[in-house]
Amino acid sequence: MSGARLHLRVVSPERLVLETDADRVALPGALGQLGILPGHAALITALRTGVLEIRSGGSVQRVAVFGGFAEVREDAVTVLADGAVLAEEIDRAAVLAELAAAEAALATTTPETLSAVRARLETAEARLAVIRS
Amino acid sequence: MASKADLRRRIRSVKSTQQITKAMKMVAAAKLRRAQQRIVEARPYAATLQGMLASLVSRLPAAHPLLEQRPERHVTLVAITGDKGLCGAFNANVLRETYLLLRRGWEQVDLILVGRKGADFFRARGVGVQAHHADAMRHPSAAAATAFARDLADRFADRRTDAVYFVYNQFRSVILQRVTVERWLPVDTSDLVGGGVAPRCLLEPSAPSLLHRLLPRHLQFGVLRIQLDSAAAEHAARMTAMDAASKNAVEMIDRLTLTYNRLRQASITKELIEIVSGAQALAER
Repeated sequence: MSGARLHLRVVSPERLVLETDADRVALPGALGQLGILPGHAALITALRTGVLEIRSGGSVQRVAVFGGFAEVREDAVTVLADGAVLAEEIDRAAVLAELAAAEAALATTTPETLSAVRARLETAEARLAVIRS
Repeated sequence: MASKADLRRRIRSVKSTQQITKAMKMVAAAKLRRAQQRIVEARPYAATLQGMLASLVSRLPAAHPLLEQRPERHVTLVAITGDKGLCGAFNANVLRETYLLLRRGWEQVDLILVGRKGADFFRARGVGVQAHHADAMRHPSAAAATAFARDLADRFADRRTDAVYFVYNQFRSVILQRVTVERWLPVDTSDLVGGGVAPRCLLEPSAPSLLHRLLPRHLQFGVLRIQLDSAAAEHAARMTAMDAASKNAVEMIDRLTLTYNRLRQASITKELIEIVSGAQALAER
């Protein structure tokens, strides 16, 4: 027992995605990447679409998070994601196809649909980043 | 008096009805389990969201357009029904409640109907209100709930409506579903204040900006929660109704079989009497 560990919960509206203990968690904060270690001050932050990195012992686990919020309180990290997928749930071929489709859509986008297309692109990129390791 | 053939036909028909109701009950039970599972799975999210919102709202009271209380002149009613019948009073309860609400004397009411049963009911009655149908909302999904919530929140923010109410069946237990009228907008913060989040905590980017992002999420999740509740309630209601129907069918089959057997016995007795008295008549000759 070297000290406290973080208790991490990742929840999306549809399920509890992940519940685990970790030594260190890196969050895709709205203002930039956030590293959380045990003993972090209480914090509520918005998240952007990106990769959540969980370090435990020597291993790293990655989760794609599609926007949302995170709360840190007394070594408990709760990620309130609009959506989240684990690496093992991602199908590489499907993501690549989705990425290509999103890029094609970006080329023909109009100002009204721009944000939706961009969100689609970001989600695909986050998923890809999770399985690329 | 029905003939034996009639009775046989009757029994066969009740039996096949019973098979259908039994199958429907089983299907509803399976779907109910899944629906309940989804409600349970959404719970951690609900709790966390509530907690975060509570700590934010207690810091900056009523500082958001979606929290603004206005006199309710122009309201929006969202009635959630199912697509199918055969589920007891599930649809009727919501529609009756909605119908009563329409008479409450609001200046203008926009009616949004989710589910075919609601649409059919108000088409038949032709009530003088503007009605929209939200087909995408028929099956609970986060994506549909998000789009729906965004649209409604925009209306509220643009002052096209002063309040939004949902009328739906709340799932209490398998045998109890209660019709609930819930004000969804403006957001009621009174039950949020006093949440258990540490008072001194960092907020990124800033409290107003967080609130600006969290409130829509809260509303979207509210829609999803209502959808899930209503779906579970529908399956529960159907299961109960079909269980009762199956039991009634058993009773009916018993009664018909009894009548049939009596009739059969009577005709056998009659035939015996005929044979015996025929034989006697011959013997006496």
